[in-house]
Amino acid sequence: MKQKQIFYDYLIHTEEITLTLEGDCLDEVEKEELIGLIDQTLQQQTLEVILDNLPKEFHQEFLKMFSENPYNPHLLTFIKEKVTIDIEKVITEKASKTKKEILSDIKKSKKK
Amino acid sequence: MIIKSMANTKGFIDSPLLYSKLKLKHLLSERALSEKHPEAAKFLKEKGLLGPGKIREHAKRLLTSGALAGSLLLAAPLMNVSQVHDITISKPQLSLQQNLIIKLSLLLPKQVGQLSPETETQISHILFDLFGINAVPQLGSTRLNDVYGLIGAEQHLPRFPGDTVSQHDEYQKSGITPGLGGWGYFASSKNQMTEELVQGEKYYVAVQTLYLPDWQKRLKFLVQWYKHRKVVVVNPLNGKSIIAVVADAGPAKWTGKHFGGSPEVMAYLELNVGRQKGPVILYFVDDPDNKVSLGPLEYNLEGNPKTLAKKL
Repeated sequence: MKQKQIFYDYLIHTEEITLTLEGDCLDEVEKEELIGLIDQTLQQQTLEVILDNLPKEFHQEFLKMFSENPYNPHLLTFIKEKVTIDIEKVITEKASKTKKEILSDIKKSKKK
Repeated sequence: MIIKSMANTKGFIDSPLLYSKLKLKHLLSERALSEKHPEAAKFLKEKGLLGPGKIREHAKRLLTSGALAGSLLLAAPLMNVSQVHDITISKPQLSLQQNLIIKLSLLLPKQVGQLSPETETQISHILFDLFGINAVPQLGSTRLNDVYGLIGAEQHLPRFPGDTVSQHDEYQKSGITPGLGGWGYFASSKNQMTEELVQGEKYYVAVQTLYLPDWQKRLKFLVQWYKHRKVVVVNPLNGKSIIAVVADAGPAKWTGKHFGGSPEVMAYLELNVGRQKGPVILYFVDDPDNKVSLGPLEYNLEGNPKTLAKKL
């Protein structure tokens, strides 16, 4: 999750979760699967936030560009031009909320 | 499946529990996206971008292949993207197991225990909707003390006099009980074994008939009633469900478990690892015409068996 490969990666900082899992003696396969689930959850939620706020007539265009090049730095510009809210802030807030829930899940899953 | 490999006691995290929680969160986010933006979800699914790690895998692949570099260099002005694919609106479909995980997660308490009558009924409805089976916590006047409890691993049962573990085709390492199951041999000799009886031992459960309040009072009736009684066992954490028969009594209360499962049952439910126990729902299957086959439940009986599962 440290690699930035998707245009909104810089808004979703997952290092805290990764570090938490790294300190818990999971083997690499387990850790990768868990991180994959967390990552995709955050991706799906971020896309949901974007689509919630992007006018429907631009959805197809956005999705096409996204599938062709998820790192396209112009994607954020494209979205910002078409929404009236601070989309970066909304994405960050949503990701923070989910990360808190995930960290809480990790904490609750620790053996006593 | 990670839940199998992760069910160990290594480290400090209960990894199967964490996996289940994260899987549920992931499924819920997928469902939210699918329900709110069905056409977008369909497009993403067609592009292989839904599912654990899919978006990042796709991004990595593009980066590795150099396609991304090319598309960056040749990027057309953003406002002139043309020839956008037509997108038809249809709701992306979750698998039977995903459906079951989500629906049960909204109903079940965090810990195994008694369920309200409303919850029990809702579970019956869910099982009928998904699988087309009539599964109930109470059949006639008969019900078990627990329907949402912990199941633990059992050994193979001797099916006929002289049966040995080496004659069972799978999970021989689980061993065979030194005594008979609660209802004795399945057949009086090896020659009298039928495929149905073989399946009965393969997919059997033990239930705590000995603790039923009316066990002594209705002993004669209940012994016959429970013998090879068909049940469905559901693992709510992974949505795996299996049809089995009652063929043994137990486990003892002090074990903290409520049901026992044959090696095959436990393996299918992915509970044959680690502490070899886990939460399940166990309901009777009302199947007077014997239409529901024993074994993994991956189809809808009311629809097109073995194929409908893929559609749901």
